[in-house]
Amino acid sequence: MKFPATSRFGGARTWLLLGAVMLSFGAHADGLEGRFEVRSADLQLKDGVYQLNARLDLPVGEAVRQGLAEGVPLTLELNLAIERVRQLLPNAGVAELTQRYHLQYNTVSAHYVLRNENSGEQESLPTVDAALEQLSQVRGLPVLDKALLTADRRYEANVRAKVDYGSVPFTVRMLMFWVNEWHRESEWYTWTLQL
Amino acid sequence: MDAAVVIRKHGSTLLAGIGIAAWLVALYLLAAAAQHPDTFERWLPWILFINITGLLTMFVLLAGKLLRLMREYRRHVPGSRLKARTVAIFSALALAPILVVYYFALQFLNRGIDSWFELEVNQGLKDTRELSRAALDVRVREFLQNTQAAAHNLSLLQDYELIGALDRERRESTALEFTVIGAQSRILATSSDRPLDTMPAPATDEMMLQVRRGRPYISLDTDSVGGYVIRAAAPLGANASSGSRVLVAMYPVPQQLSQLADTVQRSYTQYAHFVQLRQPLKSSFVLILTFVVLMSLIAAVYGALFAAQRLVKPVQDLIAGTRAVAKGDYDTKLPLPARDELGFLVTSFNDMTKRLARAREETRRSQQTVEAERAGLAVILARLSTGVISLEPNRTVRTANQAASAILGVDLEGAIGRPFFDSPGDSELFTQFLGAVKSRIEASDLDWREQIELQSESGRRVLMCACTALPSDIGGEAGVVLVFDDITTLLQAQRDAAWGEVARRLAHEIKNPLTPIQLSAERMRRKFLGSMNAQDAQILERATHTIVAQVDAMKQMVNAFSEYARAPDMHVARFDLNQLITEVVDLYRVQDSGADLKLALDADLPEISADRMRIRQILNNLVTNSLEALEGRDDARVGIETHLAEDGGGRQVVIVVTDNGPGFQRDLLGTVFDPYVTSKPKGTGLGLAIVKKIVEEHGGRIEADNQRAGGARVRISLPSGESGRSTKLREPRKGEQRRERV
Repeated sequence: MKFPATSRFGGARTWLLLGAVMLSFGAHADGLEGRFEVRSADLQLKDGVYQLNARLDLPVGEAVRQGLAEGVPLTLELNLAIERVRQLLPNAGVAELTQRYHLQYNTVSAHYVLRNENSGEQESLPTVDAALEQLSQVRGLPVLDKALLTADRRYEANVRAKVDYGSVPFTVRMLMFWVNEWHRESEWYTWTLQL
Repeated sequence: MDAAVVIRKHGSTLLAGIGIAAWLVALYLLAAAAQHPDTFERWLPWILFINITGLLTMFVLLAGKLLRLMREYRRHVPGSRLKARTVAIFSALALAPILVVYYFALQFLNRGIDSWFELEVNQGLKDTRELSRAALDVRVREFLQNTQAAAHNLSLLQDYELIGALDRERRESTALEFTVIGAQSRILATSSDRPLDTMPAPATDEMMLQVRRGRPYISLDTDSVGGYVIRAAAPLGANASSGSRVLVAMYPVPQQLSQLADTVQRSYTQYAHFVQLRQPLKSSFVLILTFVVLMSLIAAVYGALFAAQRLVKPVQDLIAGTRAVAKGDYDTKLPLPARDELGFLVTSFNDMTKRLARAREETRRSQQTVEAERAGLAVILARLSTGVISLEPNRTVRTANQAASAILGVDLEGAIGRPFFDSPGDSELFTQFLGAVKSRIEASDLDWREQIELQSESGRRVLMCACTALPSDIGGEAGVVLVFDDITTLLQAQRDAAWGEVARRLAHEIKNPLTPIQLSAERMRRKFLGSMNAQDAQILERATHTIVAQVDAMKQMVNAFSEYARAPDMHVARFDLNQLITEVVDLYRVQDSGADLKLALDADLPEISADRMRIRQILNNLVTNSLEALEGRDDARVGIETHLAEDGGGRQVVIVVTDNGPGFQRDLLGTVFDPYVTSKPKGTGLGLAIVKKIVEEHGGRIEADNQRAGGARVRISLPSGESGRSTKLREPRKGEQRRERV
């Protein structure tokens, strides 16, 4: 198993750890290469229920792919918040939803198992690309009953995704706070609902 | 002791102690947190905060102390070099083992963690995985064949016939579920051993794609409860196409095999977890170790600074104390550091300064005493009328009082420190004095006493001089002190007294028989002159005349002596001196003395308090003296001048009588006021003596000398009488009055 930051702490460089701590204080090592973001999202009304369709950019580097292939899990958390827009006051929350997905390679079956933590459904995918592709898109996720929304009000929907790579303990994360290769958060993707 | 006082006194120490304790606990917890992350997860931010704060605090304190030490070192503050050296040695002693331990700990850490991931473990896991897969592959192939056989059996059936056949085929096999999927992934028929529990498993895209390409699909999948199932798919019929039907079967994996596979998966996942944590854990451990080492280093250097400070402080105190003593501050008392060798040294230093202070105080008191005695002696010498000159062994002037300068007419106080015998001899008296004493002192004749006679323009001066050697502390040549007194006045007074006695005896012894002699001679003349012949009568006449004449002459002489010896009977009154002088001079002008009498009188002259008759006598004597000295000269001039002068004793009225005669004989200049000293053939020698006596009776002073242009000059100073008149006038002595009456 190999991590992107492995080579950063090898051999004689360890002696310069303290200096590296200071120098790399603001640096961010990124196991997820590129920008992690919600590329698109929308809510579609179907049978009186708003369903979420979203597309994520999940740029995974070769090192993470390798890690996944060796059994390191990847967790994706999708946060949805629907707010009622108010003029002079902060927006009022209407609904919040958190959806978690867990992706892990099963070495015996040689498949990637993608499991919906909320529903318990899982899917076996033969390749990491298929698994990541599956993880990057959300289709028809029911999130809100239409009856909860009022037609003459204005609503905003916000979507954000968080991805956790591996299961590094909190202590290690705190101690290695300048190494940000295990957790990423996207910016909020916001749009106005068309009722 | 009050708690508040304790807190105030030891507050900072207490806080530092609490801070260090909290830091040590936090450091321990940090090490523990790395090993048991879950236990300390909640407290980890605080633990980290305390540790970083402690480290930063220590670092700031240490940096401050090191900067201060560097500044002191550059400024050459006493003790800073010793402190810097001590800190360097202590730091090096602490640094070396810490770095060695750090190095080996790092090596151990790296190798220890790496040993968890030895190749054998990794390979073992892979082999286990392969073994599991091989074991399952047998089953998988068997299930695939079963599925293909079932698909073949079902291929000739119509869709509506499938349900029954499908259920029969499933029962004949060990499958959990048989499902026939038609076009557009539509389920045509399904058969399950748990029809009420689950929906038929949907065909995946991959499955359908593979089957429709004519390849059988077989896959080991996990179910939702963590177990394993085998999915197989085969086309119903030989030709697979997009519209053909597909049999999807799901077979159970035996429980034992499933558990083993699950164990393999868990182990593999756990190993992957470890592998993922390998580098972060190493980095965390290295970070904590570095943190601890850094803290130890800082603590070691800080401790070295503290120890050096404790060690050097007494030395710095000693240096400061020594400097203070060198500057004369003997009151320096150093704090006692401890009862060790340095403490003994400090105690000795304090004893030494105490003794020095005591000795200095005693010296100061002795100096004060000596200074007081010296000042007293200087006052005595200054007020002494006796001249005192002390000479160093090298014959330079050590001291000289005012009287010595006054007597010798030279500034000897200004010659202090200069060679005595090379002093400028602008004073004739001083030159003669040097001549008198030099030879004897240079001949080391340092203990003598003799009378020295000096000649000055104002007459003879007699000094009684004594020479004494000063004691020498270091041996060798000794200093000299010369003590001399001007006894001229004393001798003069003695002579005056002697002459007074002579005059009185003359008046008493000679004057009395003169009258009977004269009367007897006149009686003889009257009785026998008529009875004698002319020749005898002539002889008698001549003899008696001679006797009477000589007796008269003797009477005059005796009267003069009587006048000299008379008791002063002063009738002091205030009068205008200028007027008196004018009256006297007018008498001489009337007599047509033949001399030119010139007056230069000070119009501002105040009236004087004196005996007018005596002053008139003075003027008569002096003018007469001058006229007698000028007899026979055509250009005879007598001048009388008056003016005021300031003297140490007050304002003086000065009368100066000059003439252009031959002046005083030089050899008589010193005794010109002595009785019976005269250069005139008819003089009694009492004129100037009487003048001097009258002047002295008025508290005045008289000097006689010759003018440079020729002629005599007599200068009389009389008190103006404006103050202290009665005390300055000489009172008649009882003895003198008594003798006058006789």
